[in-house]
Amino acid sequence: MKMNNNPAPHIRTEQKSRHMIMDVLIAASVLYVFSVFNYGMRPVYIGLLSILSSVTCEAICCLIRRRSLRTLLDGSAAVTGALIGLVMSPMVAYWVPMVGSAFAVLVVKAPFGGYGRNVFNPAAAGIALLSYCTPQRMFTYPAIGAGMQLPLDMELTAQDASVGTSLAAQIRDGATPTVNRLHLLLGDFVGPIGATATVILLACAAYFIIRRTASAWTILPYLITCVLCAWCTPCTGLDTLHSILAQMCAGYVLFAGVFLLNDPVTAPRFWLGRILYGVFAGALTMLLQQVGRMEAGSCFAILIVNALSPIIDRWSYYGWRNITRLLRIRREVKAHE
Amino acid sequence: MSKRKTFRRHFWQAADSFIETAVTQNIVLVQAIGLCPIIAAGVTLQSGVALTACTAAILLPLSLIMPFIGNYLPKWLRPVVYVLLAALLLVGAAYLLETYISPELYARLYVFIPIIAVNMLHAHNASMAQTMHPLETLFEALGSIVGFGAVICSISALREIAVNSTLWGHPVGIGYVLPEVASPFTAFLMLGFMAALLQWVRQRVSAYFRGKEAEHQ
Repeated sequence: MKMNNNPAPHIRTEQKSRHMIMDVLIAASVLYVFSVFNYGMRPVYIGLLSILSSVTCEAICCLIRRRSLRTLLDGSAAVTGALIGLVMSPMVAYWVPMVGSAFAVLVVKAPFGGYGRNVFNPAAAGIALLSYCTPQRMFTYPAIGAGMQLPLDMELTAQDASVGTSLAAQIRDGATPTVNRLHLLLGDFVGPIGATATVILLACAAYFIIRRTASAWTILPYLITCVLCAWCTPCTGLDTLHSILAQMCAGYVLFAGVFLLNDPVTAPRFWLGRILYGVFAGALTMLLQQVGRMEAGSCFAILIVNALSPIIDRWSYYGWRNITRLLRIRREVKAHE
Repeated sequence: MSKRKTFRRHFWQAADSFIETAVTQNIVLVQAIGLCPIIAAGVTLQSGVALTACTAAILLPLSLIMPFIGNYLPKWLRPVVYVLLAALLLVGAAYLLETYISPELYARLYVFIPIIAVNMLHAHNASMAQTMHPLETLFEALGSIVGFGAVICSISALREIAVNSTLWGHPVGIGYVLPEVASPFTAFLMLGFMAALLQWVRQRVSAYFRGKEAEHQ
């Protein structure tokens, strides 16, 4: 008998992994277009440089491992770069996302064997590294204004753009968030390049689910858990709905659920495992968002659940199989009696 | 079997176990024992060498004592006696370090010297070292020290260069420093890469010998 031993993602439908990656790139480009309206061309340059860095590193890894450079065409490196660019502050220095992408590809992805064999989500690991090593640059956001054009210099200082307090920092410090509901939905508040556009992110989630790029079994449990946790810990001075909305929009909570959690390589394959994975990731994200000192709590949460993902998958699969078997035996015994 | 032949057999077994614990089944990189001091305290080369010396000061005498008293103790008591003896020896080693070598270094290492006494290295050796010949336990202890020392010294030297741009206190002349390297996660990354490197070398070497064997046949 011939056994096929192919790396992940294991897909049963006609779809190819390249289509999934194209879907993610399309969704990311929409977010970049949105950010152009808010900050000018600087976010686009940040994203392009980040993609350039990750693709270059992937090419270097291909050359070292004596593989054909055609593996670059699957686009996974470009996705990593684009996602890292999306969570940067609009006024970050250009080298910061490039370092993050290089780390993601050279340390987190390539040593494990490249796309399909990585244990951790490379983009989440790159963001985690940057938020640990350069929190000052990552979490200094410019105050938002209509039709603002950020200068395109290498490094921006506080003189170039007025600095605003981000929503996540306001919630963490226990202050009442000053953004109203409409602006929360439209993404018209201080925050990262692409992680603030709530409506667009939800539309991306719907697009992924319809195109079967991502599984609804992961996104929906994650979002429901986050909403429940936000409901349990209300912000001071806001009504329930507003407080839940503010906590969902803060930091990378929504962005991580839509883009980082659904990586077909690191997520479990079995449906029950996916639900548990989403629930666990959501609870951990909200916990880190509440007690952690960084705004990137969701990335750390995703790295932790990535490490647990094979165990969750195996236990849920065998647990479900044993339960159904027990039920069937019981039914047969009853019918026999 | 004559006494001489027995000794020779024990010697070769001991040499084998030395190579195994030091290189091929490296105590840190393959068996993942004794990670705590490397990750938390291996930030400068001096502290790395001091931790290796303290480990040696405990492991070598104990590896000679344990085969003689180990057989008279019940199995559950062996690790307890071992750790108590290790703590006793460590008091002496720490005293020597503080008074004669460097009080500064002692102050910097602070809690990590007492922690050596309950390091997993000893628990591992205590469970191994009851029925073996003293020569074997001695060589195994030597192997652990060499394996542990090589890893902690290389990691702490790299970290010292990256954090302070110095090596053993002398400036190296690299203008650019990375203070983040002192944090534990970089030590984990370095350990991972070193473990991968060791696996790679092992695969290469075994493939080479397999090729030689095939040539002979």
